[in-house]
Amino acid sequence: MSTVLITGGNRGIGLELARQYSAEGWTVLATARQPEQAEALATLGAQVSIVPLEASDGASIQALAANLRGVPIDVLIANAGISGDLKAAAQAVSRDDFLNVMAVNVIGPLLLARALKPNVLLGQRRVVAAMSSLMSSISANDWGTQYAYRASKTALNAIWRTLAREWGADGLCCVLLRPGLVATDMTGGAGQPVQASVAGMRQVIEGLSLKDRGRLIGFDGQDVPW
Amino acid sequence: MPSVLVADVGQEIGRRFAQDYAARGWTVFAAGPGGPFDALPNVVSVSYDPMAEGGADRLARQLAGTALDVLIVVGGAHGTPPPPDDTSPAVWQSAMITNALAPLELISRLKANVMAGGQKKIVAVSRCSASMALPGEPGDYISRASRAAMHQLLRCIAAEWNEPGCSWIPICPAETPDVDASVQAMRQVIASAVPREAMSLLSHDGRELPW
Repeated sequence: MSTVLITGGNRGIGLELARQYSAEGWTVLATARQPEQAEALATLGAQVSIVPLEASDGASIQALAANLRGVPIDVLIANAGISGDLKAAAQAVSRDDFLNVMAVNVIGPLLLARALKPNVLLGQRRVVAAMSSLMSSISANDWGTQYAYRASKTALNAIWRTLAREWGADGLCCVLLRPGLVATDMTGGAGQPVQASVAGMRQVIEGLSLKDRGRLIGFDGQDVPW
Repeated sequence: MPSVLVADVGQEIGRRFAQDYAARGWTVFAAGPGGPFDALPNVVSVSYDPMAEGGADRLARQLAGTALDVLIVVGGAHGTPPPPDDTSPAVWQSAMITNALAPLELISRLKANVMAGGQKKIVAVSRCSASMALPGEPGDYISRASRAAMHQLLRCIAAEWNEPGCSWIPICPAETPDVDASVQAMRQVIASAVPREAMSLLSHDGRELPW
């Protein structure tokens, strides 16, 4: 049976990914900052293991990799993310907020992918996915706002494009996913049901091959322009 | 004569821009953490450290009431470049500030100066490797990502300002050791730039590059 590792698994999209993959019989490794408080994940059954991770902390990522040494991972999904201050105008973007968003949304996924690359190489499917966004698109940005969040997702795209080029020779498929606007805590309930978004992304992942590496693919299967 | 602010002139490209504009008689405000940078006629040295919190605010206070025709922001950290795949906190934070956030801070604080200028041109010097569609260098994670982030921030602030008379010019130097030739080519692109509805990433010789 296949194994998926999902960061930020205790709520929103991450939780639904864990729910759907476990329902399909996958072994799910779901990370949470405080596993003892991950009550929603704990209800998903024995196929879901909750593992501790502070997604932006290099030491925490290394500890996770040490705990998982030798464990094959078929699909790695760097899902954990934060929005930061979405309403700040240009002059109000603070360094603390900007760097915090970058740490969680950009650097954490990069460190995680590098740390768990050996595990994904042991897997059969060899997918390394990261959660991007339509907000990452520069060409589609006609209305501004969300400075730190947008910039972080654009930066994430750039890193995943580099990983895709480098790791393709190892048979790893690095892709970016766009969940669409999903009704979660982060969006205040606005957007499509999380079940539909996750079902779409799972279908995208299921159909991936090495030729798809480096793409930014939406839950609807459509590419997002850079 | 028109005026230009170049930051950071501690970077070689910034210094060459300042020299080039000064040689053509422009009033040049040369901003950087070192200095003074006023060895040439027409060059006014202004203190600016992109890494320092509040650095853009202090620079804006120095230039209060000064019209700027062209604002040129050159990113880049100082000191010995780290290995391209170095992801230590000090390295990525420095890159994200100098290449992405500090340019945003500076542009946002100098809006009144730019709007008081005749040309209203905002230039951000980037790198071709920051384009998603172009192949990046192996291991070039942070530099590429921070420049790509800057492209997005520039697009955001252009939308926030919504000033039809402004020209937003993210531009990539030539991949050549001849920095003077690259700067002269970019200066010609800047000189001929006109306000456009959609911002584009440009090469040193004015070709549109994919984001």
